[in-house]
Amino acid sequence: MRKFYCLLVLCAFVIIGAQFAFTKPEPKNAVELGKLLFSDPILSGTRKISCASCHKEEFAFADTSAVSLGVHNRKGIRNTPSSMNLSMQASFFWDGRASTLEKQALIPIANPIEMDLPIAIAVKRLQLNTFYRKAFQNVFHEMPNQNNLASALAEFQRTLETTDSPFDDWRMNDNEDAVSASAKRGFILFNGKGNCVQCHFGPDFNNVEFRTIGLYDGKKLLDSGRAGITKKPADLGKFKIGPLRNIALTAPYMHNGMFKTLREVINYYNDPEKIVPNPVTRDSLLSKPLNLTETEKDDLENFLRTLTDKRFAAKRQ
Amino acid sequence: MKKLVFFSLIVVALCSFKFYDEPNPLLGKWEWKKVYKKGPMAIMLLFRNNGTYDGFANQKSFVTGTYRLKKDTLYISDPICNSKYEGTYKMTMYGAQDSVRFDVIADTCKGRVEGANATVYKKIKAVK
Repeated sequence: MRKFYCLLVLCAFVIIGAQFAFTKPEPKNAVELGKLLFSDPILSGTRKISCASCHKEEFAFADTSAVSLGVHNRKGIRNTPSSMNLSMQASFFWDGRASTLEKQALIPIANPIEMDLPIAIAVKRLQLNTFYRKAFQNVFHEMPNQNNLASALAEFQRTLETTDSPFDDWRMNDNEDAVSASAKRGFILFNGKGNCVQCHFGPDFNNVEFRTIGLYDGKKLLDSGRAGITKKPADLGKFKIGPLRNIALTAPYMHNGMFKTLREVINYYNDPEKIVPNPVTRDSLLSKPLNLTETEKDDLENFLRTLTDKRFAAKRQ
Repeated sequence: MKKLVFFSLIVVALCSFKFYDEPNPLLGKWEWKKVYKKGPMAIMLLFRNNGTYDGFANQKSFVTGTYRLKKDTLYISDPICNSKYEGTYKMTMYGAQDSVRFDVIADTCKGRVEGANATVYKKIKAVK
């Protein structure tokens, strides 16, 4: 009999312990709530994928495939951009369709080829979920709704800033040992012969513009980009300039993920006509080959690698 | 006579010798705080004594360029605008040279004018 009681008490401890161990921590603010929602498949039609399924933390919140798979393995049409370093961005998505992080946050949830969950149903699900109902009440003092859902996801994404790369260490602290001599030469090329700085400038190495780099030829490359939003012929083939922080982690590259490595990207910019001949439009900055030597390409690549935040370097060691 | 020549040479040498360069009041780190997209943004400028400078927005480097000073005028260039072109700004120092204001004199680089004209930066004291 005693043995039975002991076993009963033990089982009770295990059950109570398991309850605590597997209970989600209660979020104290919008950022913590947003973090939970970001990884919760409750926001997809099939309850099988979450934002984090495509925005993978170990790859700077980007994906490793050219285009990500959404619900029912539906193929997306554009490469998943990093969710990091967005707080200073002026527009979101490759075609700039969203002007705020709040607007951005809801679009993939409702997109039929991504998470495929109409926002009204997403909100209903959260309202019916005991945990989230309580969490939203605690954080926003109201039931889950479209606005506070967007706000929580956006606030979480605003925390994903990276400012501790070897490049930052070099420039901010004058730590000459933070980056290699090759990377320093690469930075000079980036600002000079490579012309990269003409588009990739600012805190995240992109500016607010949309540019056409020649990846729309109307034959095989059919994504019209920004023009799909603005309906202006002048915007045909234009895309948001990609930020470069943590770029070494976010392969493959370009709006369609057509380049697998940084070297392929550099080779493209070195002589775009060789890789995509006769595009519908191509920026005049790319009208002539750069004639970079192989060493110069190495230097540029090494510079780009210095933009990887140390949090990732530490994890990979 | 020998002594006179010797002392004359010393006087000439002393007169032609510049004991110290005019100190560069911009050297070091300066900060300007503003609001961007409803959030705080700290713009920091780091002026080095080798004539280069960096600009940082919320700790992120956003511009690297060169500068020179001529009395109260700052000549500044960067590869985003055009590294061969210098914008000129009047520089006004305040207090114990711990604040500085930049006002554009001439600059064809619109972005730089928008970011720099009529801004007041405070010196960041070095932490020991």
